[in-house]
Amino acid sequence: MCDEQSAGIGELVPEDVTVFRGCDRKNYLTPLKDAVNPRAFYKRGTNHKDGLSLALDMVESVRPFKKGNFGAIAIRVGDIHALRFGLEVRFDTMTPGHILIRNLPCIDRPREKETAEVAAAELAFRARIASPDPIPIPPTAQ
Amino acid sequence: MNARPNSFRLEKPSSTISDPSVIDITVLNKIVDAISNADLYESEDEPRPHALLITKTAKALSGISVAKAEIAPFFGEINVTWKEGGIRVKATFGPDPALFSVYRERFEEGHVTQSHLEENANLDYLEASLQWLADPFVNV
Repeated sequence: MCDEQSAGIGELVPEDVTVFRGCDRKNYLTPLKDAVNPRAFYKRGTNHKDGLSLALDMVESVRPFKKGNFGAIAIRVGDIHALRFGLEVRFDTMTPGHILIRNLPCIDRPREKETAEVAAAELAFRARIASPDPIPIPPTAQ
Repeated sequence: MNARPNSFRLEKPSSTISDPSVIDITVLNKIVDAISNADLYESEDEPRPHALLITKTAKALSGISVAKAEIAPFFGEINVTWKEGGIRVKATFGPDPALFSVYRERFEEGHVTQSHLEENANLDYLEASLQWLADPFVNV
């Protein structure tokens, strides 16, 4: 797996918590916006060195996106842990509210690519659409 | 030569993308529409598919139906995905124009029950996979 960086990796997130993945591409959802596309769970080793990013809050899941967002998807932590890939959902101790899926295979590494596709398909099946439309981002409190 | 409108000769290479001399303009337009869509990129910094890859992909897919396919850029790659029932076939072109792989899976009751990634794929493998998509009971 390509989670090469371990700094700031915290405890496991409880199973009953729902976490959110912001859509920074329109095609994280299917064209009819009726299902989640496996693409939403592709992790690249070159830019996700600590894991795949999610958030505890829907708005926070899209806040980092500079060019806007296309909604968000939600998935229960227990559903992620129940898969057979040894995935772990952990808190990021450096950034409150930031969550990481660890041990997800990388789509850009030839030896992990097939497993990455399988894992992405099974995660997408378990995810639901939290918002099919762009989420307005309120300013952060000063 | 008796050619259908928008349909041209398809060459089948042994290990890499074909280089036929004609392109199905419908396929090319669909590819260009997808890779020109800023909403399909993570950011403005994400690498775009190379022009040579675009033409190679269009040539390779000329003669294959992309009417129901989803075409998307991905960090310099061109991904072409077909889905029907529980079957998904994904052709990945690039980012190096010589690279072509095909992934296919069967999805049943929440799990992938069958999958295979063919690195260094050829169009025969893609066509066989699309035949499997159309008829999952066919032996491919």
